[in-house]
Amino acid sequence: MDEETLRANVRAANRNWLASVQKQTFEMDYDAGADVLYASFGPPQEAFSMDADSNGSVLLRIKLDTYEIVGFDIISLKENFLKSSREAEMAFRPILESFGDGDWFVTISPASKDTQAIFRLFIPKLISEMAGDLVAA
Amino acid sequence: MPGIIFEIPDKDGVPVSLSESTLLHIRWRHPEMDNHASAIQEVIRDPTLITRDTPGSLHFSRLGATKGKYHSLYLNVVVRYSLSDEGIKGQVKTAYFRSVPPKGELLWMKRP
Repeated sequence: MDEETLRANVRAANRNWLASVQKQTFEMDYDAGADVLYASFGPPQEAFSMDADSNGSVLLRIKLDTYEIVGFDIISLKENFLKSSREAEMAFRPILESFGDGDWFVTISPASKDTQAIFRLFIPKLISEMAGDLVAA
Repeated sequence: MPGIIFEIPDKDGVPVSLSESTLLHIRWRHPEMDNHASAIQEVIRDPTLITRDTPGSLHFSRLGATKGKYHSLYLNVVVRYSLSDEGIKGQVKTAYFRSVPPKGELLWMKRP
């Protein structure tokens, strides 16, 4: 499949993505040794990956049979990604400070409050901005 | 070596390792990668293309590296290289399937 067809399939499968994802619990798992953040909307599912940004540091996780976006990964979270966006750095800072330097895992539900609630709003917005026309509110 | 699943030479002979901890993250968060540690090694040893997107990290990719429903996709392994007292070493950061080759600067491509 060429990239244009892939993008058309993903676009068609995620028309109400932002509204739908904000109702779901999402999980984040950070591998400190590799500096990789894995995030999924609900438990992790089998998927393939496609670039969300131009430099390949954010990957959307796409379900093979439905083209639904089921999560995303951020490669080099601290080394590159947070340094490139002040908004991202501010959203991640409370979570990173509360977990320290090692691996961490967090589940954020629609009922989460305070810093987690801010994070909940920020993450889908960030992904929808990066994914551009692939997802729509 | 404790905590290391494998250490193998990449295409250019530089040692690349995969830690037990990183493999656990990969298998948990990318369930489709379960049982593919040997395919990860194969892609590092014998990729079809190598690209670079950020300084210090390379993407090793190979089409059809596994059997089954992901056979028609590229298996992509991200390796970070760093200089230590023992010389340059690589560490696997993550691995995943993708439907199109990675973007970034093309460093090497296997001739058909």
